[in-house]
Amino acid sequence: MNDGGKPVNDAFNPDRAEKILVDSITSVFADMAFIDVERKAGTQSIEEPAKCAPSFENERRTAIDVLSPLSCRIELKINKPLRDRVIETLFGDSIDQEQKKAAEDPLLEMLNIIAGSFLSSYFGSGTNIQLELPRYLYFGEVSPGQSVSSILMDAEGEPLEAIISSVRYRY
Amino acid sequence: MRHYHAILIVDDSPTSRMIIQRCVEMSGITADAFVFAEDGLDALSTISDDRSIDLIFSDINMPKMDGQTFIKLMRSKPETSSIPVVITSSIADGSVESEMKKLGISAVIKKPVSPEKILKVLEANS
Repeated sequence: MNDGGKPVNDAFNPDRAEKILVDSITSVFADMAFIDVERKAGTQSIEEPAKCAPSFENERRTAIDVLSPLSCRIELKINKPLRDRVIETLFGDSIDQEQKKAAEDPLLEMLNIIAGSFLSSYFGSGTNIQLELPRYLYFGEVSPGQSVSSILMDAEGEPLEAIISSVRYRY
Repeated sequence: MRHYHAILIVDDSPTSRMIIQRCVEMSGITADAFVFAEDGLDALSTISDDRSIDLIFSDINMPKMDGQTFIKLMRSKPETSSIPVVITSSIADGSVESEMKKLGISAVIKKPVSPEKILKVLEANS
């Protein structure tokens, strides 16, 4: 049995993690979708959740499970208008039927890159990083762990939320 | 100007495959054809069928067969062992580079891929 990495513990620094995660999200959205993302002023970590949570119209939730060096889940929540903007930027007007079928893929790939960038920066070069494949969360699926960070961001007027949850995986 | 007969892009993400092709084209590199594979298993079959492939971009974390296994098997066959490989991965850090060096690969690009990163890594490994 593989117990995976250690769950998020006291050694995990939420403030540092949030800063690095924000940088990773900002960089990937800018490089891949040419969308400026910034942390919403006044938003706090999960210990002091924002008083006014944004509404996510037709939300799209993607998640990637981290198996090593620690056991956690990184989740990204956006709305349909932002999802459509990402797809339009990547595929332009040339989108055909085949690409439409694959149009849900960009968000997964972006989360995959965000997670890799975040973990590499947080734990440093040389750390063994193991990621599951990213996937969508449907029908109110609840993350199995406890949220340790929740970051509200603004993507050129559209809301975006990133969540880190501590999870103990068993296989 | 670099020109290749056929460039194989191995990645389970259609978005990533499209972005890599676009970045290659934007970098000024030309190819008679781009060929695609969704995972290592698919890539092994593709390079067996298409002997014109002379450059490979491969992701690492893929279903069915990961990039490391694909490269090990590819390198074990004399007819495909010398095809240059560029690794593209979201976790392309020191540990990945070290693992890849064991397989004889020093061309590693951390995603997101850009035309500049492609040119830089190909120049450094030419």
